[in-house]
Amino acid sequence: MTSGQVRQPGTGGDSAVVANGAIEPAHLEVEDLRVWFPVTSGILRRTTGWVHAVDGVSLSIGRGETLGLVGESGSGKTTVGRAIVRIIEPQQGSIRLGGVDLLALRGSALRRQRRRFQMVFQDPYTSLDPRQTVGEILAEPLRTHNLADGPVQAPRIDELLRVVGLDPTFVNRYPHEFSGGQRQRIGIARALAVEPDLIVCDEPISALDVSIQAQVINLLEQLQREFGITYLFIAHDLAVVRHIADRVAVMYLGKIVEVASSDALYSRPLHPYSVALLSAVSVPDAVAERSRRRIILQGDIPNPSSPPSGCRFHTRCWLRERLGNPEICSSVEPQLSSPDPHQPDHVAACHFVSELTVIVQPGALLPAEAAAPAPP
Amino acid sequence: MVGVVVIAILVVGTILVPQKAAFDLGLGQGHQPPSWVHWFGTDALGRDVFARTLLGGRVSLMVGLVSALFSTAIGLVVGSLAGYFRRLDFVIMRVVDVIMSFPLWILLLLAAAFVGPGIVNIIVLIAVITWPIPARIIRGQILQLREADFVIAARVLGVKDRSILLGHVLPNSIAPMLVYTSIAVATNVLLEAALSYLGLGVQPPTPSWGNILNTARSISVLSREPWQWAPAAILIVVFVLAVNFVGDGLRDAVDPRRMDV
Repeated sequence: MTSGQVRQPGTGGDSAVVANGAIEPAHLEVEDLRVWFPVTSGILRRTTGWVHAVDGVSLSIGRGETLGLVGESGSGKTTVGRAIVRIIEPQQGSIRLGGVDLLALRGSALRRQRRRFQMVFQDPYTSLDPRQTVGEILAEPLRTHNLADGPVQAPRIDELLRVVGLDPTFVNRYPHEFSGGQRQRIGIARALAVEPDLIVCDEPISALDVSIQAQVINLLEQLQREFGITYLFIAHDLAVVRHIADRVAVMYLGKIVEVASSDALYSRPLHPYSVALLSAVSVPDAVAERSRRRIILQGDIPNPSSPPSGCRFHTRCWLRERLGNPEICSSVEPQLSSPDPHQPDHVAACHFVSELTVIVQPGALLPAEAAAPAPP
Repeated sequence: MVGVVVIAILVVGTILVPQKAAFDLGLGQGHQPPSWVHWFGTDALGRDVFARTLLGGRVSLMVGLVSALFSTAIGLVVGSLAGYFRRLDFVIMRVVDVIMSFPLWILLLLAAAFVGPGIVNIIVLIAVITWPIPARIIRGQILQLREADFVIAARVLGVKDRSILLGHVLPNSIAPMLVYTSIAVATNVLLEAALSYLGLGVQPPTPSWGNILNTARSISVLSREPWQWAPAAILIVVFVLAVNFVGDGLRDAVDPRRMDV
């Protein structure tokens, strides 16, 4: 791509696909992604075990779509995001963006493709180099990819700042002179500078004040409408994900346990873990909030270097307990499947999906006992 | 600010002093107390102590500065290598551990006795023995910065490793290195003084603060002719203090968060 060439964001890399006449199934396609970190010990650094941070994750996102990726700390959601932007090398799997196999790329070919996928970070205080001015921060991506050289660079930086809602006169200021929300906007502008197709948002608002969160979310949505950017939105705040995501994938201990459209997930979760997560979301209604029953999961997420056998969630599963601890939970690993032929896109990895739909009433995130009249 | 002024006065003074005055022997004029002719009196050979103290300062400061820069340079290169290449890291850090586990003084004395005295020798010696400190600092910085979000952001953008090292990692390591270097100038002036005092550093007739103090080995000079050694001793203390103040000031000055809005 030569400098100065006009290019609509979100159209890079398509020509090859169109030329081949192939129909693109999904914009981002991740298949059977496995990221294991070695556990070393002793003076010789022998590998004594593996942390299965991500253990066979498959997901796909359509162009201009937002997929929310939720889960507890340690579920591997950040690792998935970092593997997709090629910061962490996965052991196995494939990542295709617009038909291009990202994992096959090396060296300068990878560097050239990097402009197609960017990342927005969680912490706006560590994600900007404290020694660079805003102008320098935004000039780096332009320079790296020869996008706006010489006389057109300054106007392009102005434009980027305006797009993210910042005053272009800020170019000579340092990051520490800005608030968290403003810094996050700078981080978004940096990602936007290379006109990416995909932005991995790694908990982009969880470090911000609540009042600022909505602004940043709205900015991200506006940019998506304007430039057709695809988002992988990693978060642990389910309320925010519901707002921004078209579909949501729930992760537990390195695996995806449920995928559904946001509406379906929030109204009718199919996996006991999703039910527990959703029961922790507070309701903006005093009466409903008081009668809300929460499912408190016992203990912490298990150690991913020796994940539980069978269903990974069985050690903490409230449904299994209620069903009398069936043996299959600890022996056979459940696969993602859809219990309802009318909703083939809503899949969950649980042996007892159908039992759950009976126990959990549609629309209410309450297990059966909670739905019964509360004792006075 | 006071530190800067003190250092400036010392540096200018030591540069302006006429060399000749420090070496002129005054026959029959030895051991004179301070007077208008000889502000700090004269030493056993009738040389002007004021001129010798300032000229000694020039030598001492030069040894301190050059050895500090030299040591920082070695540390910067070795520390960067260790921080960036895991294989080298293990080897380099073990070498660092070995050097640092020797008592500094004994190592320095042994080495000085081995290679012999002389200005160049002690500059090289001090640098060779103290580089592990800046090496550790820079290695720690690099290990920490390598995982920093803004470095990861640069990698995601496709910035080359070399540009990341030069554009993000090193600029953010400057503050601790500057502080180290400035404090090292002071420490190395002390090292030089100690070595020269023991006769292993700068050799007379070239004066240095250390070998001027050497004259105080004589009990009679120590107790009855303090003008011979006190000025050098006081200047060492003043200089080291001033450098430490400046070091702190530098740390603030190079931190963009402390720049006034």
